[in-house]
Amino acid sequence: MALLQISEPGKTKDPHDKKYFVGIDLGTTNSLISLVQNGSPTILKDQNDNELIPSVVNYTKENISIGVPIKSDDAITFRSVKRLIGKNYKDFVDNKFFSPCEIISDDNIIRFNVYNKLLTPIEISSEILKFLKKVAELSLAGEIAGCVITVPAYFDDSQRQATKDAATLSGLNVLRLLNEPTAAALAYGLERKTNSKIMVYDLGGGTFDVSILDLKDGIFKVLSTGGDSSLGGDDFDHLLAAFIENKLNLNIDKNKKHELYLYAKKLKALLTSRDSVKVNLIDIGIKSESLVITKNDFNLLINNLLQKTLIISNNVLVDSNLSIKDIDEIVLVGGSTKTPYVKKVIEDYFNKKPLSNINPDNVVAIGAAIQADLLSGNSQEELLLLDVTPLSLGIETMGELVEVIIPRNSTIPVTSSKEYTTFKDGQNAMSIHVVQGERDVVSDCRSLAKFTLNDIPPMVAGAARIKVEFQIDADGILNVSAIETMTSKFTSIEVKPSYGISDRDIENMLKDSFDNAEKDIEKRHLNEAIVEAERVILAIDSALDLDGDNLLNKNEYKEICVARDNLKEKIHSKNKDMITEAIKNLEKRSEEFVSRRMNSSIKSIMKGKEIKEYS
Amino acid sequence: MAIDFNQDYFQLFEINCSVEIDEEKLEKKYLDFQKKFHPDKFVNSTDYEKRLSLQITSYINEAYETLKDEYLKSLYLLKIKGYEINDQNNTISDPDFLMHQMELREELENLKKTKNKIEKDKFTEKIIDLKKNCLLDFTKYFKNEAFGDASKKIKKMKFYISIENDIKKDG
Repeated sequence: MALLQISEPGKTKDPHDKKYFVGIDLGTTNSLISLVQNGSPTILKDQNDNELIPSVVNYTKENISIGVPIKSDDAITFRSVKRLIGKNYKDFVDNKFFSPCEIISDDNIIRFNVYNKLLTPIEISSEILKFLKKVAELSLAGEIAGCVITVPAYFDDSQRQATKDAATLSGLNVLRLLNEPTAAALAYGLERKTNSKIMVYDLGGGTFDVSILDLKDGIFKVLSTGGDSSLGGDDFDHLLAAFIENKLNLNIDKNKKHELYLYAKKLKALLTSRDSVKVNLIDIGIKSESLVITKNDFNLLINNLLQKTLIISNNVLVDSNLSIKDIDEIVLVGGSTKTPYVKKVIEDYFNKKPLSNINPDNVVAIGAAIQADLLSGNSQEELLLLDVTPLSLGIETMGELVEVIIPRNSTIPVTSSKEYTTFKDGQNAMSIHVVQGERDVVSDCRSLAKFTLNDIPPMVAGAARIKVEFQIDADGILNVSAIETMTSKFTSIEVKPSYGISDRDIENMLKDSFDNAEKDIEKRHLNEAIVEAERVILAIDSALDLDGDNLLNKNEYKEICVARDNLKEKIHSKNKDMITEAIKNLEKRSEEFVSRRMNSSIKSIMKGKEIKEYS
Repeated sequence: MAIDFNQDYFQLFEINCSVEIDEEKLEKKYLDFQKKFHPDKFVNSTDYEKRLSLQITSYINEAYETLKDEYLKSLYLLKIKGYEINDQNNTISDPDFLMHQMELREELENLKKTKNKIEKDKFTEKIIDLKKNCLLDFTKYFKNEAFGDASKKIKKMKFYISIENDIKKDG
């Protein structure tokens, strides 16, 4: 079929040969997949033409579907599963997270009982990634060779590792995990290209991140980053709901409170374009007096939270030894920056109009696509990104105190080593507790892992010198190795990640998914056949349009049309073999047409040109 | 892809081994190294090359952060001269200085309670000045190869840095 599409030199002939590198914004509320094509980043659309794909996973007894929540008693629906990734059962209970089904956790790992199958948040997230992968494969009709996935800057080691595990389960090759604010800056940085210092203000639904970046001579360096992992636009909604409840003296139960909260979310959206809204609680089945909320009421409600974000932003500035006047651009990211008052507060404080010409919903995905393109090695751009670790890495010392070994805002990858010794004669093992966070006391930080160093050569107390090396790689993920320096003997390390999923668990999950893979492969082959069929039909139609009347007689024309219509019909059969057969038949019928087109196109190219141009 | 891990940080960046360094050259060399060795440049390479790139970039980052920071650079210079400061010998036995330490700690605790911003800023400035003086003294001693005296100054400097961090943490 290659001959039918007369492609210009330099352009790829067969899309199936093409390997794509994509960016993925795996969001709490929505997810996007994107890529750079011909130098410009594009968000890919699903079959219903949506760019934003809700991060919703529905399980029914037979099926898994992504995107639109199913409202039925027969479906278990997971939303915002990102909040759970890399967390353990204790976190789940402490944060009072909501579960749509029973949870079984005998080992502190969150396992949802979904129709008698136990699923972790990693597996549920991997369904979203699988779906995004499929969206890309269908829309590009090619293979996804690698991806860049964005994570909040404030994600700790276990959350990053868990995100990577989810990608592995979905069959994606992760080139890099990229911090979301860094991705946003990349999206804007590529537009500017001049040397500048950029502040990224990222206020999402549940988290707040700030990063300062320095773009200089083709290197994009993150200077410092900070934030609050429990401050976001959802807090606006809670404040607004509480305000309404208070003003109207409502006495409502937990479920109604939740509905009021969702209602407040809608009011907030309305207040971005209106000066006041009328509260009508009848819609959610609550009888009450009437109430009008003005934009000003709302602004006053959220003002304290916004002041908090400014203090954090200022601290991040101080961390990079800069002051407000040094910042050239401010970039807004996250849905909550759509609130006009947020923009105003930022503008007043920094005395600069923030950039928001890229849709804040898309900007992170666009940055991810750019980074994927840079990493693919095919990029035209000469740009390198240097990121930092947002959280300090420490180890537990005497008295449950933390000793920092890699301070936050260190450029990654970074290594730090620490020497230990034994305190008993013949001691052959010791354990090390690694934590992440900025607090002095172990229990206030996030426990990452407990390592046991085994096989220490027996020596008198204090004689062994064990050098433990902690390395944070370019994804922000920790690796540990240890060596006894007197004997140069490597001691083995047993790692127990605190979020509980071991490599073996991941292996088992992968195996499970392979068991289902056969079914998936069949489905994929069918999808590929359909895509190919549609491509062929499109090509034939456009060729007939252009040259059909000139190059074919009536009978020949008709013959091709019959073969084409036959293929169209076969697509509906959902039978891969029948579709492939019909494609072959159409190709055969149009062989002569193809070769006539080739000849005529060569003629037309040569027409009108002087002979000397070819010599 | 190769780099000599046995050379010291100054040799790595081809700058003079001294307290005052050519910052511009350090910066330029650092960025050149990054462009050449960063893991992003080896995404599609063999596992061996990926590992090597990770090791080299980690080493370069560590070296750069050390030379960029006055305190870390001073410690590193002393280490090269055979005067390494570690957990075991990092004590100050100067009674006057211990007294001075206690006074400053007390002052800070009081400021935390009263939350007087003007007084606190004044205090911060005082600490920064004391730190600067330590560094100046260190430089003088180091140039005269009085490494023992230079070490003492650096230990004192460390105290001022920890006070400074305490102030920052208090917000």
